[in-house]
Amino acid sequence: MPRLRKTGLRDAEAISPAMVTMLGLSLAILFVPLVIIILLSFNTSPYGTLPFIGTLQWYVALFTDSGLLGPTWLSLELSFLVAVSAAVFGTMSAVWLDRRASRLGGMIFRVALLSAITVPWLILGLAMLLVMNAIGIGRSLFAIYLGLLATTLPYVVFIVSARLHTLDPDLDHAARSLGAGALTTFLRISAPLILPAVLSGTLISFMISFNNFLIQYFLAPFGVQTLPLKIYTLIRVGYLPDLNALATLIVVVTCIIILLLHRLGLRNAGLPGGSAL
Amino acid sequence: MVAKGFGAVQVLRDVSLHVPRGEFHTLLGPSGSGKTTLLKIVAGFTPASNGAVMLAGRDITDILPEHRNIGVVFQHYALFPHMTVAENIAFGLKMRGVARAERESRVQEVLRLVRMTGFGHRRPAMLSGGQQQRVALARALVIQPQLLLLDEPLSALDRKVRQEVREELKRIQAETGVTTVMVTHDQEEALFLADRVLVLEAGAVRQAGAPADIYRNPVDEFVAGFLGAINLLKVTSDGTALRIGGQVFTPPADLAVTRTAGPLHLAVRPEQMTVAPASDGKPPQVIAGSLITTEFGGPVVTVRVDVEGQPVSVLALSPDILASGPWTPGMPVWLRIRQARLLP
Repeated sequence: MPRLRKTGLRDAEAISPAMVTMLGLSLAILFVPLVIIILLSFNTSPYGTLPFIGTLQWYVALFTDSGLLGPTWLSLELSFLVAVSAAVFGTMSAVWLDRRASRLGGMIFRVALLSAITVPWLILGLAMLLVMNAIGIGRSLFAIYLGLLATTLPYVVFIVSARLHTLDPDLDHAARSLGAGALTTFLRISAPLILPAVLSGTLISFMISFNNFLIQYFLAPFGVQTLPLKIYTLIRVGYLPDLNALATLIVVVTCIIILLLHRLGLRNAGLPGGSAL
Repeated sequence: MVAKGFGAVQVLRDVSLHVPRGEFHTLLGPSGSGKTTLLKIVAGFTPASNGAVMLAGRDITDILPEHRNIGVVFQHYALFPHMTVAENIAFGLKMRGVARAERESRVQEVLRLVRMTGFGHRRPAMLSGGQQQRVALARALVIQPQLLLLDEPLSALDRKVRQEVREELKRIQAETGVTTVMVTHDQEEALFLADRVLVLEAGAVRQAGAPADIYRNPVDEFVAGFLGAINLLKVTSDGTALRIGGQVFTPPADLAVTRTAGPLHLAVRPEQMTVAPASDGKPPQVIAGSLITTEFGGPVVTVRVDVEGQPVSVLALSPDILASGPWTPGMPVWLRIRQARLLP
């Protein structure tokens, strides 16, 4: 066996130890807190102290007297409604942007959407409260719905219009020449091809709505508590171990949804992290 | 006759195209010549600024593309990626409300026509470029269009596959007898396939005619050069003979020479000349020159000759050149012109 020659050249595709370390660190920052929360949800001590004694009492507490279930359902329903609305309006806007918008109109619309993404939610929430008060809607569930819709819409528009942009315009021409009208062409050709992007946008909208504390905080009327607001009030007075149980359940449900999407054949649908599945 | 302008830019200028039933016409031109725009106007994808499009006696200028009954094949196939081959082909029939049983039999029939039987259940992504283009052709033909439009149908394919599909295209067009208009920038394709070629440049038709005719008798330098390699020799005329530099020679019998004051261009295809080593007693129809080099290209050899300071290329079969050698650069040679054309 000849000895390998020592050289300063490196295989460009080789994986260096430094890269592996970086990758490991990134994954650790992401997942260590999650793993800790999952472990704590099964620990008897309410203060996160050792020794670890297994229990399901926090899950029982969550479903009996924690007061967390109501806000969770409210958040789920609200986020679902916002996500579906954002998908419908966002897709319509994206189609307009890709197919019908004039150069100037399209550019103005894009810049407006981009600024809706870049303006901090703190400012956005405050501005929305002022507007809601001015037009007479005020703090209400409907105001939260409108606020979250405005926050999530740009994401759907950008994801869907990026996909539309990659479609060969000759696909439409081909369908038209074969006898399909404009609407049929959209429903039979464009729509199936952008569906993965629409679903991806819907999922992102759902997550943003579910998470968005600031918009909800500014626009929620007194007495209405979504999950983020409920957790916020709980944290201020002390920490409930039931929260660990709820967090664990949410993580599990998220994983199941992603697996389901994978089973539906959306591996390469442009979902965040979809190709890793 | 149609015209098309985009803003201030006039893309097509009073182009007129008339295709008799069953014929195969080719629009040949460089990119930017307006040939694709013309095709899109005929297909209905873009409106004409003025003029009219008639199909089988019907004015279809303002008819939507879905009501025109024109089959279109695109450069990049444009097969629907989420449908199988059979679903792609059946799409046009479905839109026409053809019943399922008939749809299936017609799909099978057209798959046989393009020699893709057994591929019906595959997705387009699983097919090679040549196969995809056959499917696209089948999809356009199954609706029994009154006119078939081909937009650079071969230019996305590899050289070898291109020739294969080209021959298939010719066979299928002859078998179905469908009236066809093809757009291409490849003169070889145009000459091989078409009954009639229209050479377009800058939105106007430069010349139209049968392939062999426009190849042999181009009207101007552009058409001559675009249809293939050509020598353009600067000559002057005295009414009967031609003069090139210090030499006077008799042109081929079928070349009409008229007395002209100014300089002319003698357009000669490289394969319309023969070359031989010079010997004694130059005949009047021969042009003398000196050999620059011979370039071996397998079946053919390109012989480069200097005639009175003007470079000339001659294309000959390699056995002929090898038999009449040896050839050394600088040696005197004789050129004989078989067929040529005088251009202003």
